Amino acid sequence: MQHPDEGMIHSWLDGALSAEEAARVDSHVSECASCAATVAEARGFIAASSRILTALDNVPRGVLPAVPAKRRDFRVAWRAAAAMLIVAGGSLVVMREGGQDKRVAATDETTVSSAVAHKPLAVPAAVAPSVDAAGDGINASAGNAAAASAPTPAPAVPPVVAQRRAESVEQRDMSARSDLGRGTQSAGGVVGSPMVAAEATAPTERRVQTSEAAPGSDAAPLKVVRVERSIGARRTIYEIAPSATVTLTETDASQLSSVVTTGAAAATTFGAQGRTAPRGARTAAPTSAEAAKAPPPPPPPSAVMDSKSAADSAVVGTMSKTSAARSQAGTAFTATNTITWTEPKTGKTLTLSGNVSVERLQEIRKRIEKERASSGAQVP
Amino acid sequence: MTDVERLFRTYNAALVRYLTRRLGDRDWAEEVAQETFVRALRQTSIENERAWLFAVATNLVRDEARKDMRRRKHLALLAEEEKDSVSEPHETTLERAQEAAMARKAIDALAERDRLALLMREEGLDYNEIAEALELSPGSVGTTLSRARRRLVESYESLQKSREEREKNAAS
Repeated sequence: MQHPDEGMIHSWLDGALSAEEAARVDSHVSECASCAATVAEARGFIAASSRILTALDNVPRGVLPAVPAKRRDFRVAWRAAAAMLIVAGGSLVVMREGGQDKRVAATDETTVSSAVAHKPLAVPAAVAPSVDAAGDGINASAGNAAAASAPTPAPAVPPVVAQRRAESVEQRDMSARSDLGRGTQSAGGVVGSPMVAAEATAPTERRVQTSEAAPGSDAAPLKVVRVERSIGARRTIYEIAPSATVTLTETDASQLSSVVTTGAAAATTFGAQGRTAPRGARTAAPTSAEAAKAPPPPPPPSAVMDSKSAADSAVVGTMSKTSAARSQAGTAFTATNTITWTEPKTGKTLTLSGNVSVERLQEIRKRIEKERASSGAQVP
Repeated sequence: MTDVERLFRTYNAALVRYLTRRLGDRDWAEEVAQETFVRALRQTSIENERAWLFAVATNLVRDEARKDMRRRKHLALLAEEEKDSVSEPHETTLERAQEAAMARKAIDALAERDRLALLMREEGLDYNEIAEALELSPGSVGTTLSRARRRLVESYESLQKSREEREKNAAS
């Protein structure tokens, strides 16, 4: 037999030859040394190639583009988790800050409610008599009120008042709303404005200064800068300080018998002290807890004045949450405050506005009323 | 048991191994194998099941020649990375990885027909099946296989020798 080629030897080793061919190769290889060597080599190749190909099985799953995709997914998952954490954390911060704002607003409202709540009780005891004697002017009635309630500058408020105030503090904004609602509906009832609330919870020291400052400011007559007239309205601009003016608008729109307070300066300031040191006054504003604990001061002059207004018509004190927030932001004294009332004698609606605190506006209103009364209400 | 289930149970392991060796990627191999069985579903009758399955799988691989080129480049990069990480402590794993990389290089150095014939033979296909799958004459399969085996082994041994020389140079 001719020497089998390499292909045949592999075929023989692979068992791919017919029985006849296989027998021939088998007999030849057993006799031919070189062919035997070739067969040995072929066996080696077969074994080696099998081993080499087995090494190809050592392929980790996903070494190809599928892997980066999986890793990307993993990263995306982490990013999503991180984003969720950030959002959750941010929400928590916002919620907590929002809660603080809410507490602040609630504090203001509670302050209002404490005043609102105790006023109806306090008025019969201390303020009501002064309302009868209101013809003597605000300072006189303030003095009367103080004298009626207690002889000292910091008299104790009747226990009922303190108790009611504490309750209202506990009830917080809920009671504030409900009490305000009741106050609005009470015919001839006395409802405190935010200013009243601030006055009512102010430290005694400030109150003394306020009451001392009031006569001084009344001494000088109001200086009229100019008078503007338009259909159905008359605007008088008063200079109250070298660079500050207030505007009094008189309109014929009657029946508007309310005091509207915008800008919540009054809620956190204390009269003259507040004007001269607004920031200090603001930071010294009592919290609801302090309001509950602090010795209640006597009814302020403005409270008396409000009582007087209430005698003419129902007076509604309102303070919006937004204005409360503005007050907290320290912009209260740059905001324009407006008070509106109806002059009983003429039935005219008078609106006084200016970049001053509401207390100051009330003082000016007082003076304007006095001047108008003395001049026989010169109405064009 | 349906025909496809039987086909799958009988040939899937060999087909996946064949394709894995051919492609260098197990996931890809499984995908191609599954696609192969899906195509088998559409056949009313298959004369030589194993030859048919390997032939279809081989054609599917061929159809994805472009992808193959891209993936081979990726594999080559991986192989280079393996080569560069000689000094790493996991010698056993590294040794195996290096062997795999060299095996891949060696098998890639073969002609496509030789490579496929060899891989099919490794999966137990007989000469007739290989001939049928690769459309060769049965008589040429022995020659194809002997050539493929010799070249594969020689190529691998050459790579091994180069690596040993490199390591020797690095040590000295």
